Amino acid sequence: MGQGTPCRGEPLKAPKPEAEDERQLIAAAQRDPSCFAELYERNFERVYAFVVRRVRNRAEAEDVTSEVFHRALANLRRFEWRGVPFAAWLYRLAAHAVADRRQQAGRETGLPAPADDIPDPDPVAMRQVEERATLFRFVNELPPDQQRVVVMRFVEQKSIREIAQHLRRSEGAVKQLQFRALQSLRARMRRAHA
Amino acid sequence: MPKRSLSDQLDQAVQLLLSRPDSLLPSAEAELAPLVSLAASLRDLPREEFKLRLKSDLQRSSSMATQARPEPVSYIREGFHTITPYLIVQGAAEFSDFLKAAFGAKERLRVPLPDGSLMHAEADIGGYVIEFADSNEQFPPRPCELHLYVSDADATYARALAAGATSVFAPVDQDYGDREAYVRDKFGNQWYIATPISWTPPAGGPPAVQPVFHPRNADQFMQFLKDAFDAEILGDVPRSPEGAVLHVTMRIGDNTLEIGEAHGQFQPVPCALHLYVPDTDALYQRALRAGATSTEAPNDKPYGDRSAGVKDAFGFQWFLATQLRDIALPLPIRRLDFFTIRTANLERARRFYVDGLQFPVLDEKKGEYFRIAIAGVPVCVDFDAGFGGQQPNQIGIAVSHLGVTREALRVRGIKFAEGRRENETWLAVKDPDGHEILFLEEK
Repeated sequence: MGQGTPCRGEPLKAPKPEAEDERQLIAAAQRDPSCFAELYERNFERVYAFVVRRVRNRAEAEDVTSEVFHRALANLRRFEWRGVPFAAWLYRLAAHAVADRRQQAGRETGLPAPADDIPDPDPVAMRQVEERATLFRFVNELPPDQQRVVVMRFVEQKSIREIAQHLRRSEGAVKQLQFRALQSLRARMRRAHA
Repeated sequence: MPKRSLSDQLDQAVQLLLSRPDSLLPSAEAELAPLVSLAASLRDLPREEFKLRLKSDLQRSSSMATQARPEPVSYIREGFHTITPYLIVQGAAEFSDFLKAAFGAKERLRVPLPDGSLMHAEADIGGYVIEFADSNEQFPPRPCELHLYVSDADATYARALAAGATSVFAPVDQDYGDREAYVRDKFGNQWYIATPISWTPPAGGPPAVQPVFHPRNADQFMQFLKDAFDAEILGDVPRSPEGAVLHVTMRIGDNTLEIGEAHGQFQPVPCALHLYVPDTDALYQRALRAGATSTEAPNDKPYGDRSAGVKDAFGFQWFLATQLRDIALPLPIRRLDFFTIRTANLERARRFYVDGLQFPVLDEKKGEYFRIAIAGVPVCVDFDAGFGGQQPNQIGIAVSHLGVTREALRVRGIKFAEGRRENETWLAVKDPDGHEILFLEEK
């Protein structure tokens, strides 16, 4: 995943349909695994969003997400482009990884493994996953101070007081930043799904 | 009681969400409800450090995957077969023209020397490579006997004569099923030009180029090829009433050669053959055991082959080779000729390097440059009126004794700075243009 390596083939003169662009990226990564980075960047939030609601906690979500991408990288040469988005293949890998983990947990606890180890076909659920992935990406586009508040509040689960101390702002100002961040995310999500 | 601000109300809902992750969405004013819903999703926001760490882990895996699975390199160089004739001729460039004119050869590679002679060249005839080079003192001429299968023996024969070859015999229908002609070129090579007329060549056609041998004692030669190179006899071995081998085809690897006992005008031509094999070292040893003598022990060549040479008891030269790396023609580097540092004042720089540091002058052109040797590496100090010390160079010089260096600089009245790093101590001198000379002594 070296930088500066031409991973897309010839420069794109006109915007290509996303599917075509993705197909080229996959072909490039199949030839040269160092080109996998772009596929990872495009799909990280999706896989994480899919996994996080199917496991018990953040640590497990990270383990499974990591496993999915390592499996994807290892098996990339076997991936055949049939017009189905790359994400669908990743979701399948993710569903299997979650199922494996549940089975393993079942063996360890002596409890029967839950049966729902098949990729989630429910389009509503999958749309929620996509929406959550979009939301996660939008957080990276927030102004830095809003972004810091969101990360400290929701990822690090710090209290408003702790954040205020850390950022040397008043608690009211931090609440305002949190409010504006959520408003901004809401606006972006509406535009994205308009 | 004053109404609480929206940001306060939102934070209260967020606080509830965070303290009771499994609870339903807390109720909120209609205006806030969508934000609370987003806040609920944000509890699953991935850690940025995790995303970066995973990316870097994948990066390591992918680079390991790339390194661990290099494209397998064939032991045979691209375009070559197991056996390739190597013709050493006087006038290789002219010979190349002859190959093109007579046989429609395409030149693949030409490595000329400054005197115009060819150190190495390759031509393709019908998908088979012929290598050739100019003879010299070390490599006297080694012509070859070659059997070409072409689509029209008569037409090729006519072209060969037009290109300067001499006819030994004109095309004739042979009883072994070929229409065949025989010519000699002015470089000493002999060419059978044949077209199958009453036999069916194997799929893919007959081999376009096959070397032909007329050794004395063909039976022993055939045994040598079996013992040394795993050659195998294809078909029958027709013999004369006296028992001499009239003609035999033997296969080594993916192509064939032809052998007939020396007789009459068909006398041994001590040709050289290039043999691509899976394991040069093993085959070299095997060839020696089979009676060959070494002309070159196995060694790695700059063009990516491992190569060795043997000469058999019949006078033929064999170059054994295994391609290790597929590399393009290497740059024929002999030495570093110079690198340049710039000075705005040539005289001042000369005083520093030549009078002061006393580096020997290799050559100079007044007002333009002078070239000095630093530990054998030529450094050209080049005049550039516009040079103002931007982006100065650093020249690192390893010394055996930094103490002696220090004294030597003191004696010369040259100022220096000193320092030490983990594994070395150093003295740094700046030249009048700002270039830095570092004398280093490893611990």
